[in-house]
Amino acid sequence: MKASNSTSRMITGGMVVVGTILIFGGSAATLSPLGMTSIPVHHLLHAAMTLGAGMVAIVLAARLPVKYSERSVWVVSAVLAPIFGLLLMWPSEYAYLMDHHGLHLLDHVGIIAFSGLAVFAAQAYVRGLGWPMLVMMVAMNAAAAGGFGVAPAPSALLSLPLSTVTAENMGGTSVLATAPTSLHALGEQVSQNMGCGACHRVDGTKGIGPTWKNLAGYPQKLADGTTEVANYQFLRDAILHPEHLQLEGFPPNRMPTTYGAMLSGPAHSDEHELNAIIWYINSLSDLSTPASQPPVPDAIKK
Amino acid sequence: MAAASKLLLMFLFLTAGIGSVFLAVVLSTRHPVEDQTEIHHRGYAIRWKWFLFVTLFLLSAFVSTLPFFPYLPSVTAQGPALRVPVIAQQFTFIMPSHVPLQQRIVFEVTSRDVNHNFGIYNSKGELIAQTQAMPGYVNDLEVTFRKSGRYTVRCLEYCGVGHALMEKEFTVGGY
Amino acid sequence: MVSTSDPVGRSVMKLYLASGLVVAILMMLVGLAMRMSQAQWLSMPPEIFYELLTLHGAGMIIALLICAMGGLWFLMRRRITLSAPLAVAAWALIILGVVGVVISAVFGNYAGLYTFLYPLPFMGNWHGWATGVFLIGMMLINTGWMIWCFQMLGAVFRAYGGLRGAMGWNFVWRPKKFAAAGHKPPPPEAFPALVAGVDGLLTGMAGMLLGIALLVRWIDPRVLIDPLWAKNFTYFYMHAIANLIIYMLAAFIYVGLSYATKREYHTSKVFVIGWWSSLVFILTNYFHHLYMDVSAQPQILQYFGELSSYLTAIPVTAVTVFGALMLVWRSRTRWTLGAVFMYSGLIGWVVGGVGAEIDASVPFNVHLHNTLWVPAHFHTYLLGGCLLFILGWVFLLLESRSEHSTSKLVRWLIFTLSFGGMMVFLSGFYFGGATGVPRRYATQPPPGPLIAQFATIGAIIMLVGFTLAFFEGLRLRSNFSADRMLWPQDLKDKVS
Repeated sequence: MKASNSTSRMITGGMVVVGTILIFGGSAATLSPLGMTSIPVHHLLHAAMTLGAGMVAIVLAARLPVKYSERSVWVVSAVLAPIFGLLLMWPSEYAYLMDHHGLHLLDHVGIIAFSGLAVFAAQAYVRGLGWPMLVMMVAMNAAAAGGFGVAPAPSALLSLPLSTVTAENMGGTSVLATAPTSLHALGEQVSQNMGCGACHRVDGTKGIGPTWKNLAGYPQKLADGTTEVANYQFLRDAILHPEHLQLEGFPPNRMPTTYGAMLSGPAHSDEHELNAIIWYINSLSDLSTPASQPPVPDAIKK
Repeated sequence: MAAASKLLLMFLFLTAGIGSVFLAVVLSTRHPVEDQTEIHHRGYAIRWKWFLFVTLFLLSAFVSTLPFFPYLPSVTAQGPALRVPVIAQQFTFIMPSHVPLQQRIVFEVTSRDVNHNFGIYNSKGELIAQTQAMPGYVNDLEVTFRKSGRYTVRCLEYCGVGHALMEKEFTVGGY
Repeated sequence: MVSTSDPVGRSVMKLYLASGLVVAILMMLVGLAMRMSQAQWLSMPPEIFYELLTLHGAGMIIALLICAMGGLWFLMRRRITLSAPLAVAAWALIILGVVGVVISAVFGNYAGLYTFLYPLPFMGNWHGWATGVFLIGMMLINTGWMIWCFQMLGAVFRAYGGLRGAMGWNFVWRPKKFAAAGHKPPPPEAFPALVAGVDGLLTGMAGMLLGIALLVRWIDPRVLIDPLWAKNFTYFYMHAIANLIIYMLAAFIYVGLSYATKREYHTSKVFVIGWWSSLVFILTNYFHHLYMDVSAQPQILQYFGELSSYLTAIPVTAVTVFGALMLVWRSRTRWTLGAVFMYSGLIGWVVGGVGAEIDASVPFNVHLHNTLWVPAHFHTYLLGGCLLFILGWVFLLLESRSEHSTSKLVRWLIFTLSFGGMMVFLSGFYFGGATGVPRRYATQPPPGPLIAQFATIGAIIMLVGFTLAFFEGLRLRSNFSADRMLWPQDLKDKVS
């Protein structure tokens, strides 16, 4: 700095004072009985602590004898310290730490130590690198407030029923516009709306997934060499929990697990659409029997 | 001609121009000169002109693209439109199979799981509109279909093993 | 150009260059397999295709980055002190990270791509452990990168007088005082070093934050992450890394092309101001990856992204490329293979830039975003720019010390096959993009595999050209004269 001696002493003193206040404030906050702040605010407070730690670190590093500068160990420390500091900011544990003041204090001391080390190491390595490192560390902690530990809730659109989203009230003459008269016809519509046909062809050819033609009631070869008949329970499990099934000739985990959530659970307690799909699969098989069919009749109840 | 084909032509034209400049400079080395002063003067003069030209061109290009940005200001987003929900998920789009013609439509696009992209292709296979489908967010894509026919939606953001199969057809108008 | 009296420095550069080129060659073969699959000349299930795509993307970027790091490190070591053990440590961390990425893709079937866009790494068909190994691998790579950036930035600060000196601040704003004090501005290659150091560290920090967030999420699925926040950070980080490669390789132009044209490139005010703007633009361009988040992303950032992306062309064309053309114009260049590769790389940079500026225009982006136009422009930059610069550099080094020289016929053959094949390969992407073919598709939608077949033929021709170049390189290497002087004694002409 080109400032005169007294100005630079004032600046240095100021940094030490402000830095110490921030460090102690950040540590003392862990012992206060105040309730949980939101996670983003919590991140910003961490950023303030980092600022304090960094300011003190720069002043300390200036006191380091020249012969210790330009050592590679400073570079390695400056890069590794922020990693450990970040690991001490584990958002899903914030609520736990708010109730355990001792651990919280230890956590903050750790953050202060690693932030300080990072900035100290930068300034020790080469004078002039300390300030940029401080700015980057503070910015990184503040940036965490934008999305680490917080996320928007799923859109309300997701809770709309399937029939609302795919409503034919906008006209059109496609097959999907006609009201189904049987459960298996509803199943055909639902499976088209949900895009099952992209992977499961109905013409007998093998696609990304097994064909639905002549599936119900037929024995299926599994990847472990055993065979199982595709009865109702098998088909139901295959749709709701595809991660548990691996057929021979298909890699594991190809089918997403999303369909399970869309077809079962509290909002679908009657499993109406699931049964419709399984009726549709049965309608494509010439070995369909009551064992492979759903326990409800193939009729639309009004 | 499709918009993208026009862009390709523009690109090819510019590339040919660039290639010619580079070729000319290479060929100039057949007649080397020792004294660089004259070349430097002319070179710097050309560079200054090029700098002014490219800066003005880029700034005016920036200004001229502004009216065509697809971002709905919040006022127009609320205006009269048919709001069509689209839910992208691994590996399908949950959406109606028919939308009306000549009607301002706002597709409200979101995702159930990972990032997808809602890309609308017309019956000629031209990509006419698209927006990202993100979990937890809704993107409002405004489209007014002026031609009836079959349109195909494709996913344009890698979303897993079924990404290339993720498509949905819908019809527009009295089809 | 390259001193024979720094064997340690040369060994470090060779370590970086050789490992980078080996990974690059392997990844090009992986890329060929992918294009053949899309051409339907090779059959592979989509799981394998996307694993290969993950490997190819991550591998190529890291490979070219390693080459750029090694070359720039060596060039700067001629001017300032740089610790070799630290550079090797950085290299080792990166290689370890690459091994992690390979293990996760090959053995864990990880196929989340090198953009690891949240939440996809956690919602795919691969083993859970593979996600963790991939993320740890990327963190190791980032750690090695940041160590290199730190070392480079620290050295530049020390040698040229802190941030202001390294930026040439007083040289631009107080030239008379600066000259009167007997100061000289940093040499041209110090500016890519400064920009790589500053932007590399800044974005590396962002990558570190994102990486730790994802790792924590991998360990503890209760942790929430905002997908839009993650998307911004992912592109801020990855765009800067990919973009920095070609800016770092500009140092090869300043030194290597100078050597080939027998003219000198030196620092001027225009040059310095050009690099200041690049320093900023590399950071602010990334918004152009989010144009199609039409409501979610704040609108002001979209406008800003287009303006920044547009203006990037100014320092590149008006300073670096124009300066390079002035170096070549009516010079006494001997068009050896090294000079030819180096010069052609400039064409790739500018042409790739045109494709990029078209895509960076928001109204056009609607038709091009995530189509094959995107790989078209970045393959032009990386293959037609970065790789050619690296090959040019390697060949200039080989030619300067070899008793052999390449015959005109072989030069023409290698150039025509490599460059011609490359143009055919790249045009497959441009035509695909213009016809709306989506990127990252394991199978080709309409109009079918024809374009991919065309591109595959181009790639094979290009690889034949590169193979011939490899053997020619071995031949040049076989007759090294260790005592040959490398730096022309009679440099007179100065260009800036």
